[in-house]
Amino acid sequence: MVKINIKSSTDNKFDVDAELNITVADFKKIIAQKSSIPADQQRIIYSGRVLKDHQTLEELKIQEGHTVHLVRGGNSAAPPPPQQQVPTPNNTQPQSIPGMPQHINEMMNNQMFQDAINSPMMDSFFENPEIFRQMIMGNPEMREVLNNNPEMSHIFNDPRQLRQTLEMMRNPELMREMMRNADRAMINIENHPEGFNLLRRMYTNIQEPLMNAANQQAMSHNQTNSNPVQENTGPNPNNSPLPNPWSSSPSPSTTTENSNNSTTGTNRSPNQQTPFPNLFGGNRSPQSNNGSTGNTNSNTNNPFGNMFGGMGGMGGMGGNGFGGLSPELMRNMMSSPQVQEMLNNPAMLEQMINMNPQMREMMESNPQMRDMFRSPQFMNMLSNPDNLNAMMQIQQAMQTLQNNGVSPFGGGMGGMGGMGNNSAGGMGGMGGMDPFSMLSGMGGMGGFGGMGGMGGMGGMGNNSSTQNQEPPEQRYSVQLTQLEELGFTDRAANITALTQTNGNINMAIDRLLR
Amino acid sequence: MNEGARSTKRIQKELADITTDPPAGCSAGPVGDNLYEWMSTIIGPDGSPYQGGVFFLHILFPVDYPFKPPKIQFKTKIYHCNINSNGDICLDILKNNWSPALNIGKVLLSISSLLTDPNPNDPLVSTIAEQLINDKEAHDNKAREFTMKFAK
Amino acid sequence: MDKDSKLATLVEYGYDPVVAQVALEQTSYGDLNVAIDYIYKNFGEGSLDKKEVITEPTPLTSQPTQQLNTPTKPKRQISTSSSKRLKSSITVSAGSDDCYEDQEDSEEEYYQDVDDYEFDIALVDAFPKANTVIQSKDIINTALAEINNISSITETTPSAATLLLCYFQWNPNKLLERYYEDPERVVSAAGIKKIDQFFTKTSVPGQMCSVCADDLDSNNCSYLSCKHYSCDDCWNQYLLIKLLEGGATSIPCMGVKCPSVIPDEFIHKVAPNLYNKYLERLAQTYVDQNPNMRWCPAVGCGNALKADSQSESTAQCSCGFKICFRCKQESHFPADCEQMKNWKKKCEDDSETANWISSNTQDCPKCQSAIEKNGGCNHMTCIKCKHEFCWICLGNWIGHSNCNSYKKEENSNKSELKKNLERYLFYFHRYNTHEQSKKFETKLRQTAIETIVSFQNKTDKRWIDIKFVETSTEILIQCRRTLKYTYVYGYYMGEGTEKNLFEYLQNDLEKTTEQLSFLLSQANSDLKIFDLKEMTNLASVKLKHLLEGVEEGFIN
Repeated sequence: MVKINIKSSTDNKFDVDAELNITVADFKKIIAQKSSIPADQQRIIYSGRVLKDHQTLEELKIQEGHTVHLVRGGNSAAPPPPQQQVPTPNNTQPQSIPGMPQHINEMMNNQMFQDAINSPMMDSFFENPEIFRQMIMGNPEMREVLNNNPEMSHIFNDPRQLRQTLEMMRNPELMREMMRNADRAMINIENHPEGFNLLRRMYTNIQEPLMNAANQQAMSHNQTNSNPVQENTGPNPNNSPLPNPWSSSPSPSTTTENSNNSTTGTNRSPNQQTPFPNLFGGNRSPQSNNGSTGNTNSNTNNPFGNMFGGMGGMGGMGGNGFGGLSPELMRNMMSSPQVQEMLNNPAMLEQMINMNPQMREMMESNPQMRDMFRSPQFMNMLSNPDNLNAMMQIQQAMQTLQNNGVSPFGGGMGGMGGMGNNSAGGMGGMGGMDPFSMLSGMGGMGGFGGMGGMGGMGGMGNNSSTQNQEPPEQRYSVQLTQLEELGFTDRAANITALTQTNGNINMAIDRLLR
Repeated sequence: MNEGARSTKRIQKELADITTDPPAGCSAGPVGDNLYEWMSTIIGPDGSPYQGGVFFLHILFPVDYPFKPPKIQFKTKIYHCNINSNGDICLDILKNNWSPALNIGKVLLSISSLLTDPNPNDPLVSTIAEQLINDKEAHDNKAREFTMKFAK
Repeated sequence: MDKDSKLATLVEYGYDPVVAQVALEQTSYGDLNVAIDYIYKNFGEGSLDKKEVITEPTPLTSQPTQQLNTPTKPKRQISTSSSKRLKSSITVSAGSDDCYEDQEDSEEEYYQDVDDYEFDIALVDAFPKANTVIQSKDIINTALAEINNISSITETTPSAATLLLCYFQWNPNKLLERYYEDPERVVSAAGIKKIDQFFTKTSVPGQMCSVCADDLDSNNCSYLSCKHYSCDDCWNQYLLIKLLEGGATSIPCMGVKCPSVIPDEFIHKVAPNLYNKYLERLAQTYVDQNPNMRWCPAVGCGNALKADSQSESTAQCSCGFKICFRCKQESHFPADCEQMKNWKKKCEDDSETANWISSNTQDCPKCQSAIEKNGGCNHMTCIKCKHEFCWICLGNWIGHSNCNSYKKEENSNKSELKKNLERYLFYFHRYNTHEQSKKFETKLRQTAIETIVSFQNKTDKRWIDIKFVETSTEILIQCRRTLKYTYVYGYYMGEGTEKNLFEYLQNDLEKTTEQLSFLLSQANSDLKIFDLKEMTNLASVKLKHLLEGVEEGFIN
């Protein structure tokens, strides 16, 4: 039997004698004898805690002469039973679960629900995802949702996510912040070329089933939970800036990869007019950061933009002069498995080209271009990162030249990579018509509107890096054949002319006729 | 005496003091076995809009305590112009005016009296401070509402 | 190919006709490559040693050399002058003694000319009007002298004088003015409370240490007149922590909100082992609080700079570092403090986008092999393909001209934001490049001295010439620093004629700086004193023009 001091706001200070092995509930009864507060309304506070009825004084390390605080609890009559039962996983409350989705809205607004959520008990409850999971799984509707949507079940298995949800429910301010974050994230995602698909997929995969199962309640849940960009675990609104949409973290691209296949045909990305699946979609996000302007242009107007979306982006980068300076980006893109696959598989490219009537038409009217696409050499060039690097370098140097106004090509540069933006819409200067393609062994490349950027680079790259590696006969075999067909039979003269004009057939003919 | 031993001795003494004779409306004790991490309660002072609420606080003692102040945060949400939504408290003795002669009991009492007398002239949450100056009744109602909601 | 055409070919390749003739003779007019190999083997690279071809058959020629220089060394004097000059002189002279004498004379005259150049280095920014450098070890003594001075004038103890000075931020004039107005008020405001009353190592039975609750009955208690009792142990700990914190104000008593301030005698008595630390802190606050003083921000330099008045904008430390007195950063003329603040902030904001720029490698625009920049000079030559290009714009160096002005792209449909970013990156890239170059060239300060020492030992160079390398290096660093900040200035400069003129001068200085940088980077192996002097002078004149332009306006 020890003496314990009680400090109470209503009854001032007094002391009681108690055994230390009794529970708090019993202790309250002892106090009730000396206090005006009945035992079921007492709250005993000691050492920074509100004591729980089932604990014993010994467990709480209360000793002789210690002082505890006594206050009158609010509506403490209702909460105790659930509070005590919930933490024991075996003792779930099956009757309350089926009603949950239907009544969740009312519950949210209910003072009692708020109280329950805000009780410190709930914290420990949410620390344990198992209980929550059991609760959810006890509901057949919910279970079905989770089974069909593994992402969702992941969310429920993640204690952090749960806590976030809980925090949100109890803090309206945070909830608003969450919504804002979600909105921002949505905007960010939408700005990614493939982001819209991602959103769509998210919607169909997560939101709709959940909506069906859990009505509006799911809305708040899953807008936050499915937000891939932002995760707010703190108890307070996030004041720091949202993630930089320009940062090169490839978050969306991993998820988009599979969606490329699954969403073909129902593509609702900004490239609606395009008959092509967005082959480069997943990879475009990083470089669209730099070349976004160029991208939008080429994607909306250009039938080929989508096919070569990534490369259109490169055009944009070139156009911006500085963007093109990052070979790393380029390398990343080119080393992505999708691009690699495409580049290594000429049949695929061919198929792709043939699928598009406009493209086919263009190809048919330009056998040169078709040859180029079929040429393994060109493919190699595209797939060799070093070459690409070289192209970028050159293009960038050209850009500088152009900036400095010393460009010998003057306005003709319009057809070049850097200016890919401007010529994006049209078929651009075709083949030999493009003054720039004077330089280009792959002259025709310049004509790919949206591929303007790529065309320029392709041409440039060829000009510098291929030139020294192969004899001119090989390099200009296409043009040579054409010249021969046109009746220029002196092969040596043809080669000289082509070499001098860098493979520009029109210029070469001019030269031969002189 | 090395720093750790000094602070341990001092914190033990403070713990003994506060369990036997806690200041009015305040209690505090270690969270677990770590003597340097405490939790604490402050009972909303009578006559303030926080009356009837029990506010939880988290206390972290630095190793060079008492020469450096303890770090104290509200864990319970409270509507108060000197306490932000993160639970941080703007109180001079926890910052520049800390003195090694202070102890946790005195600090908790100071916080308790801050609940009775908020200091809107040096606010941490300026919107609440403005409301307190311009419309004390609305402020107190809101504070009461928060207390009922979060501190019951 | 006949003999003549072979000779002509060699001459065309840039070899001296005499050398070529000898080489061809020695290789019996065989393959040209063999002859070239022979030239390289026997005459060394370039045309500079061709005189040895001449000297070999006629030993007389070595005479004048020996008169002037150490006899042991082969004559190398001429080799340092520009090869163009040498070529012409040798083709004329072809082995005659007289010509050598002439050569010597003319060179002497040339030296004279260079020496007579007026080096207007004392430019607007070059040397500050007046500032004192206080070496790190002297700072505390300077502070103590000031304390003693005030102590004797105000007839207070040194402790009180210290507190007074701290309170008045080490401004003795203001202190004395206020002190004589109302001594008592000033004393209490400064936290001096019967300053001489404090007690150490006493016993106060029945009292506990206010900090650790130990009993204070064994001569272990110290306190000020405010009677906040504490044991010496706790005082020590408290003082240590306060001294390590290093705040700018004096140390208060441990009591809760106690206005008393701890006098230095108290520290000396209670915590004698901390007294040195206290003095260090005093020195720190002395410089920190004094509006006319600044720490030299250079890494590893602990000196303090004192300007005679607050109107000074720049000061130079004895370590060579130049600082802006207002913002305590490196002197950033022509950009002003406000611009620098905005620029720095911008750089932080955009650091993510600019990260790639700061990487030190770029690819050779011709052969694409990666090139690391290891010197300050922006005139790059690829080791592999010998392509010469400008590091900044990657353009061909030959025929390379102004890459310093940002060209707006007309009719561009890029967004405003993007254009701004581009514009910023343009300036940042150049700013950063000059910063990098400056870093390399600051290292030249050390190598310059090494160069001087090594040349002193092995060549016949005149001391004053070799010493000149130092001056050149200083000018170069100055040019780099100014160039660096001209890009900040340029970034914030409005479009118009002024800007065009500014960019013209900037470009001019940039080119000269690159040339100077190149010469200096070669100085260790191939010191061309004429060129160096010429270029240094040119650079300093151009720097002066630019700075004057900024200060007085470009159009007048």
